[in-house]
Amino acid sequence: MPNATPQRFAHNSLWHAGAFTFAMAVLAWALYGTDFSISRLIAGVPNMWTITGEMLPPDTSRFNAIVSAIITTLQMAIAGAAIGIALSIPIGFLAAKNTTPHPWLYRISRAWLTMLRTVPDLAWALFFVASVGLGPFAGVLTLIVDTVGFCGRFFAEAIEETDPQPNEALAAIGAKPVDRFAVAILPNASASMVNTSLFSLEKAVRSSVVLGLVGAGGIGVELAVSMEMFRYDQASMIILLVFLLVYGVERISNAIRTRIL
Amino acid sequence: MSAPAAVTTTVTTPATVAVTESVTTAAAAPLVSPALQVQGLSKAFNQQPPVFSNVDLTVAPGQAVAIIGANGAGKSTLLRCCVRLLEPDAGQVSIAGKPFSELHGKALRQARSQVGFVFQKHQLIPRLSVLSNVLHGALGSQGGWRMWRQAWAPSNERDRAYHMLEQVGLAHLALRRADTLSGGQSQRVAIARALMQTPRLLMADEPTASLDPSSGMAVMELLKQVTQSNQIGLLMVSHNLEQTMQYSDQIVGLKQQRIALNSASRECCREQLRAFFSTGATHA
Repeated sequence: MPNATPQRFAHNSLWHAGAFTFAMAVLAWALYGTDFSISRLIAGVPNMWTITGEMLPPDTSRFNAIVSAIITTLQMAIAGAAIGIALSIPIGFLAAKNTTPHPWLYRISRAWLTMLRTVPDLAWALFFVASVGLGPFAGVLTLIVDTVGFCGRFFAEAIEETDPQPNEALAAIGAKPVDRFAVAILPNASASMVNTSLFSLEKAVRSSVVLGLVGAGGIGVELAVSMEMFRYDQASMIILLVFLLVYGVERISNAIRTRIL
Repeated sequence: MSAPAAVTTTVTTPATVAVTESVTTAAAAPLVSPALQVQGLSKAFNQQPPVFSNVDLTVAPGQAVAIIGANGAGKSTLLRCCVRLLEPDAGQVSIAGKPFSELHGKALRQARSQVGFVFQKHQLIPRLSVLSNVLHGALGSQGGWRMWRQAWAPSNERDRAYHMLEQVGLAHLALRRADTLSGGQSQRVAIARALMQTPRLLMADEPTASLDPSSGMAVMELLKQVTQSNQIGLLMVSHNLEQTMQYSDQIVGLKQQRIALNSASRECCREQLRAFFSTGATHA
């Protein structure tokens, strides 16, 4: 007689029931702590309609000023992402196990990247606004830090995932580490790094909109002022142009990605 | 394939008695250093029994030595220990007369620049051009950013890389991306890359294992031709006994951690090889 077919689940049902109950308890705790209320949501629906009504039609009277702020936002995103991506290459090299010159440099650079990534960009924006003053320069500095935290980690992982054998082939003939990195590791990691860079540019465009809310320049300042003055028709114009900017950057980024990869 | 120099090899029998035999493969006495000289080389991994121990081996300029053995016998490990991609536990290695064992850093890199390496999988950089890949073969002796891409390379090095491609018959593919080549073409490019180093010793780790029989024969023919005409010592690992007998001067068999067969190819018969593989060969 053949052996019995194995059971579908390796763990006993008591363990599963306990895990499910715990997950539900955590969710209930989170909802309670945030005053989550369906009745308040329903009561707020008329207000949503009112605000939406006030948003339409969008106000075009400040079109030129808004477009100018949108261009500043795009410039912030491009400058911040480009400098951040350039800085991420050497940091990624230090933070990858297979290329770092010393284990301590690996640990320090990984910890540094984690710190850059875990502090929210709004906190960095407040820090830079306080340091260098209001305006887009503080926003660019924020985006550089944010991009290094994002790209540095993914560049390091792309470097770690490269096939070690071409590198070994060059080591066998006496090539220097810098030459091996440039010809055996970087070209093999480049597809993934280009992909990450394009995502970071899209992310920088989205972030740069929000950064203006805390005074770091760009269209966010215009949006904050319109909302505070209850000029929802101006706010809707800004949101519409922000949508077009983000959508346009994503389309261009997708086209580049398709062509390069 | 004939070697122009006298070859001295030490054979350690399974009974661990060291016997030194001299095999003279050409009339002229050697005036130049052997391409490779290995003495008493041993390697073990993590407290395990040694992969091989006390291996002696000599490859003369222009001579082709083939290492055979079952899977897991330590053939590839031996090759890697020779250039210290893996650190041997004991023994001495000299390449082109230069002791290798005590070198570190820059000195080790300079010593490695006497060696060309051809791997089972060609190890080309797929996104780069064929010419750039060949150029990288000279990075051991001439590094720097200009050698990273063919477009930036000094004219003399670029011309030399193109000439290497001519030698392997692929000059017409110089600007093609490496990932568009067939397996046989890729391996020929890998040979051209190894020749860029103007090596004294060429190591080939199963260079035909991933190729069809006809491409494999073409690659072996090319290896034979370029190593003989440039007086380069060739140390290769192979599972293909027909090719081994046809294209090598000396056959060295690794078994049970030792050299259990060491014979001139022309004296080595199929029965000898069959006996080598049938008695106690380890299979992975």
